Amino acid sequence: MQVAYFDNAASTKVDPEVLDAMMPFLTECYANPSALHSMAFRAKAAIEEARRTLAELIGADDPAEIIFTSGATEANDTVLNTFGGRMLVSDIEHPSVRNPALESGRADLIPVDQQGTLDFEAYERLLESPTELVSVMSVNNEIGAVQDIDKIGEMAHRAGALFHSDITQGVGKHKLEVQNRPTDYATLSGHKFHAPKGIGMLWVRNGCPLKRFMVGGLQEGGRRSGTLNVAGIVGLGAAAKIAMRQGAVEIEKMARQRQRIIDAIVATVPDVRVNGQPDGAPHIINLSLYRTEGEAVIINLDSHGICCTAGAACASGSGLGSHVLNAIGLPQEWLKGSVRISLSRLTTDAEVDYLIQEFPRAVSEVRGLAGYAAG
Amino acid sequence: MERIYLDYAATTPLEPAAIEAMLPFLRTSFHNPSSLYEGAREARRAVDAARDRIAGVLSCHPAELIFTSSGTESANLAVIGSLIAARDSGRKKVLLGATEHHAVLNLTEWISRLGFEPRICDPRRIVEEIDEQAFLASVMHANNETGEIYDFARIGSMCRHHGVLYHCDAVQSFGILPIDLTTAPIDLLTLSGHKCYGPKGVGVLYVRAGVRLAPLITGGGQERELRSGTENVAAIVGLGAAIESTYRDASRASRIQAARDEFEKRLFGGCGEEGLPRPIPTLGEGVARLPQHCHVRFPGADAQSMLINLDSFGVDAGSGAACSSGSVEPSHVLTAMGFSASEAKECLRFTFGKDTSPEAPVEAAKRVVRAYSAVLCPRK
Repeated sequence: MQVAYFDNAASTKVDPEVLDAMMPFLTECYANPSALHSMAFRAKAAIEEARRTLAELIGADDPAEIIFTSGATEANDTVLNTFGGRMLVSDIEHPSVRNPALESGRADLIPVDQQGTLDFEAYERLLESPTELVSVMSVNNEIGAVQDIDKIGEMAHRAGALFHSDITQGVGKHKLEVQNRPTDYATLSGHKFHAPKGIGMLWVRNGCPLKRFMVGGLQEGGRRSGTLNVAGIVGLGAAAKIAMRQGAVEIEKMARQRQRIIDAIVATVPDVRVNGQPDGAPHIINLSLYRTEGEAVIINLDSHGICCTAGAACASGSGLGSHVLNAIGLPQEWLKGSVRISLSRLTTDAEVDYLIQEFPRAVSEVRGLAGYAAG
Repeated sequence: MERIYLDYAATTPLEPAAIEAMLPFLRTSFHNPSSLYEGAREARRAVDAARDRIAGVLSCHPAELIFTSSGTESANLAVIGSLIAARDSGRKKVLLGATEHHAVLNLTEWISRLGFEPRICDPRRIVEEIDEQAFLASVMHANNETGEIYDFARIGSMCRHHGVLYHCDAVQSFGILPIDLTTAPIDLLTLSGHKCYGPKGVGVLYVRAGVRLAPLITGGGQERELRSGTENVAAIVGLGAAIESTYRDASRASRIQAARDEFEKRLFGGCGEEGLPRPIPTLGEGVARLPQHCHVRFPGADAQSMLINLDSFGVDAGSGAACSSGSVEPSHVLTAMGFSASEAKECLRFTFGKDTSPEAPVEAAKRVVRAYSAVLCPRK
């Protein structure tokens, strides 16, 4: 059976080059990098090299501003937990920003429009009350909406707030630059750009506050304790190197594949709408199938070797409607029919062809079983 | 010259069977276990199988285990998570053993911020402090620096008698000393992957059914809402495989102890022959200690100089906990035990593992004697 992987926003394949870079640190160089012997020094040197690469990837001048974490979720929680005052986060943030914000009882949600673009008028009004932190992701993980984070950050700064952006979905999808931009914190996760799971990064601009989150042996300059995940960090560095190398050609390739899929599905599947911005991120397509069970379509596709997801992976099977699709005001009869198709630079044209061939069939089979009647 | 690794307490090599088990999840089965399709379900099953395996050796229910990113995170979650879940409790005292790992001991500020009263106690006498005012006590199973074993059964029983939660950090003992949670009076147990031949970047927290815990990391709601973040599938699988293969090696503890004992005999004998002062074990006679630990003071020799010399002679050892090896502060464990700062800075830790070769103890002892001699008499 042919297979096609379209769940890259949930997790990506570890690049074989990344795994090669990791292997020495899973085998002969196993030392604790905080120890004082040659093997430990080698591990430590590899970590510092990865730190420099990460700084280069996100366009930061000082590698010391980078802290390795277990993933973007931990990194996001760390930033949000630093602030004791009022926060503003967009209504379509990942749960690892949105949940700690809401649980703090000190956060307001910034609404977005029907395409998922931040509502700047509402944002401006919300900034009239004293605010400590604004957090808006650069690219949304469910619908691929891209935000003007420079403008959002500038407005935050003008209002006296600091600005955090979860850039997890933006890595390898557009050029990153934090140094001379109004961003104070940036967070990302390895396994969304061909590094392994279990590793992420928090960049915090020198001089900005950070509350210690993981407490213990004072690794990472005392800012994040716990024995460093050497192999994971080296893998993250290797993936960052590849992401910088790939450049515009592969981003254009993804964008072209994305457009091909959208055009083909819109032409062959009745009663479908494309959520998000027409010119959104090059790797995410979010579709809604009118009065159709999205999960049934996904299961049907799975039985034909195609992997994709309804909404975000973490919420799969939770039964709760997507907070993102609710935030863009998707009508009820479209809500349950959401399917996310996400690409990476490893997505092949053959996979795209196969998806385009199978998707209409899967939808009509699911609709046929349900006795579908279009509105 | 073959290097001899005697820093197993800082980290262990990854078990070859663990790498084998991990590789498919770093190559083809890379899916997010929370997705719905077959590849994702395979990842989910692998995570569950690892959980079952660990539950098997601890004799607990798999649902009582939470995967975290490290022992540090597990210990933070155990202590702080249970305090957050009980902020309304009338009990305010939180008892911490003075020799706990920094992942527990450095929580005092956070504990105070939550409105509780941290109290640092002598772990050997902590049972005297356990009473109805206490909410939680944390005393490790075995100390990571000295290898001293604390009596969790006695501490835990006293906690249970007074209705106090008991957190036991078993990072250092796990895989060597057995813990049976059907009988051990432990409510929260911390484990770390890379101290028991698993990978770095994964830890485990056991939470006894019924114990209330609040998450420290919120988000996608993984690990029954207690630890959000995409599961580190490969590392979890690696930990499961490492534990399985470690437990199959039934003679590991006796082998390790034999190597350690041989090393100590040769070390003390060798120093005598060279006319060097006899190294002094930091734990007195009759104190129970882990079979893999040799923790000794080298009178007159600074530990940092010893380590530099040992490194050049091909021996990887440690002074105190690895995390603070570069630290200028004397070990909190040793100062809590009554050592002066200068005595504490003369202590070294040699820790053995199941892969230590039978020849290693003799050769390592020779090299340590040479290093000691080089530090004490530089011109010799």
